[in-house]
Amino acid sequence: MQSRLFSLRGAIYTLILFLSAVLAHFLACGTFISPSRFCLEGLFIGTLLYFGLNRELEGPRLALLALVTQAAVHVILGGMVMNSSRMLAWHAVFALLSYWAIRLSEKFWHKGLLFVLPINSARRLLVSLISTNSQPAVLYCKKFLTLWIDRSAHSLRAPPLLAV
Amino acid sequence: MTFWQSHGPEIAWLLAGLALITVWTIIRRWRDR
Repeated sequence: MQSRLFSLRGAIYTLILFLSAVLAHFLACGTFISPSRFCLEGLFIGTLLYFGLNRELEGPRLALLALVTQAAVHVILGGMVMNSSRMLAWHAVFALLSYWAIRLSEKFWHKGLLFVLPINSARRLLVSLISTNSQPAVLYCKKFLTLWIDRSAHSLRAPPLLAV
Repeated sequence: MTFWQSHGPEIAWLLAGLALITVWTIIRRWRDR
């Protein structure tokens, strides 16, 4: 489950980084030199994330990842053909956006339900699911089992006819 | 057009980004020490 979870997480981050970089390049009217470079770029980002995903992605590590991805898309996909201030600005904007998106996503992976639902309702849900002690049915079962164990322990010591 | 004239801005962009990240890392380490 752990490895499956991390591969899903990695795939989502790869997609976020890749799409944000390609969109930045596209919006700045950059050229894409060949389709096969898309695969190379995807592989590059996937490899970067494979080595970077062992810890929570945040702060400078995540910023470095976003920056390197933007630079790599510009170099690998565009072949450094178009270099205008507009291109650099779009790449900077989308580096920030991908940083923000992955930061939110990391919070989701680490906090799960607590991040998605409002705090109070999430807590109530978790309490009802996890701490089953407060459930009336559980209390009833506990009481019944305690009584039954008590009765079993003290009964059948006499001959069956006299046992309660 | 020389290499630096055509690719200077993007290399400067990358170096500026790396410098910012380095400064950020140093500040965080100094704060967390």
